[in-house]
Amino acid sequence: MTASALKFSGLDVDTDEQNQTAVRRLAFQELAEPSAGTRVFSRAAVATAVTPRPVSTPFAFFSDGSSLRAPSPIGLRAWRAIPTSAGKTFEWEGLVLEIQDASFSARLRNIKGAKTDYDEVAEFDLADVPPGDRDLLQPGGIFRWVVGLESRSGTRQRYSRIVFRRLPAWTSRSLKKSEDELKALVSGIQWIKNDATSTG
Amino acid sequence: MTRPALDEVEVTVIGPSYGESVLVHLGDDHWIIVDSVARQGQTRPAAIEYLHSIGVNPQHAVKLVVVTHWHDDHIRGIANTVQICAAATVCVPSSFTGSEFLSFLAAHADPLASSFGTGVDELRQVFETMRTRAENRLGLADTRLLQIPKHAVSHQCHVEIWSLSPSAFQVTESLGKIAKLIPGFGKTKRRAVSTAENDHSIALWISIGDECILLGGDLEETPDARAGWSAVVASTARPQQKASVFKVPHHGSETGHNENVWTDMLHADPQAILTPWNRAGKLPSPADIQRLEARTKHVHLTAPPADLSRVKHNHEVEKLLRDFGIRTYREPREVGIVRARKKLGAADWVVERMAS
Repeated sequence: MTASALKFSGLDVDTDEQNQTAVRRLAFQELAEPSAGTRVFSRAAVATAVTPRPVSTPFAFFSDGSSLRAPSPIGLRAWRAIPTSAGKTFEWEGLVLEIQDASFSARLRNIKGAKTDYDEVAEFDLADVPPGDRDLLQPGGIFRWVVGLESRSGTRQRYSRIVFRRLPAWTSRSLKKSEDELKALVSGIQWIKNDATSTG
Repeated sequence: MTRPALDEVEVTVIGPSYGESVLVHLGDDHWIIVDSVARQGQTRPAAIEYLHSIGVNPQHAVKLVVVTHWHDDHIRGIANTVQICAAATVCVPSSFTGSEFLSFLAAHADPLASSFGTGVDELRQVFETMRTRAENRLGLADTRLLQIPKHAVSHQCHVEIWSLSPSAFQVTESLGKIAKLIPGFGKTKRRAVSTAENDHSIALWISIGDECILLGGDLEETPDARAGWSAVVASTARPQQKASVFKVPHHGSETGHNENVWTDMLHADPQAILTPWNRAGKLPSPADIQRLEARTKHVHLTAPPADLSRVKHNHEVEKLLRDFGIRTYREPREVGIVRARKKLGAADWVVERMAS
């Protein structure tokens, strides 16, 4: 079977070399095999499979040049992936303001679809945050919230996804540089000596 | 709208459902601005808009701009305010120059490629503008920030503005708390969100002759008598008169309440003006309003609490959001304003609530 012969839920997929590799490596969720040479897979499985995934660092090497790698986080990857839309999608950038026991509040700024020119505020369940993103759920955390329609096995379904941005980490060098700049800025401010003589 | 007369004192409190700014007319077209709030979706500070609307040029008329503390709801548009008010002395809490606070700001100063900015851009711009000014002030307990001698104003009343807080003890305490918020190496960057407590907020005392005004900022009470309102009330170095207008601290919350403020620092039945805070745990609560009404007949709220409006998206979006049980809200477009005016020597304040 070649990748070009794959047929996904009635949708022909023109896979490139990278995706062919991904397809060959992954165990797809096979739904049916209606005819020889044509296999049908769920759209969700395809979305997972054809998404380029980071290759983990080998942890063991063999004399023939092969190596062992940690398994890629397929489930997490699939969870984080925003599904291919089968209709309109609406997207907001979100900023975590406060975290409560079972929910968090966020300020939202529409970036696609809803056409609001003002900030919105909403509360989300903590359960809406993908497990792999939980460490990013802190006040000040920035995320994308996407709602829309997707096709699963030919069926249109609504989806809502929260995907946190994994921004670069703070480094000691960058912290030191910013701190020095700010302290230099503030040290240049001229203060009037405080006068604490009451006349009242 | 008309500007106040030269001998008319004005206290204008601007507070939509989230955010607060106060203007005070000291007479003779001398104004001060305390904190900043901008209309939703705009960057122009509401206080500046207000001054323009009554025909006052803030560039020359504003003599003092005070940043009481660093919380999102008090600094929206403050950099713009400081820049526009070119003749003003700028005052920030003394904790702002603390090493811990600066480290915290510095850590969040790098651009994040987010429409929300870094969260510290406003303050950084304030510092940059302050650097170009010859007169800047640190707000600390029992500190006179400004005085205008009576011969310099037509109403012939001596004018003084004092910061009543934070105490030196409070500053140390606050910096200790802020130090815990400084991110460590290797942690994923995030935007700065002002989650620190309000115990380093500046509270202000303004006297114009015998007429006094107490602006509570967001100062809260603390268990330690060396900080919060207890420290303010106990101080013998502050002005010892009584005020007839009180900007109620911290949106009328229980934590901002100190009974001795009402007995020792305020006249009976003062004009109590407060702004709402519509986020999780809305302020003021009905119990807060009840508590205030038990202490004065004159309670004025700039906007109703819980006044966030439900966002009505188009049908397609609404249908999707309904399926996931999510509702989004927005701040009202209108900016709630309470304005109190009094001719010096007159018996009563004239208070009106407006929306702009």
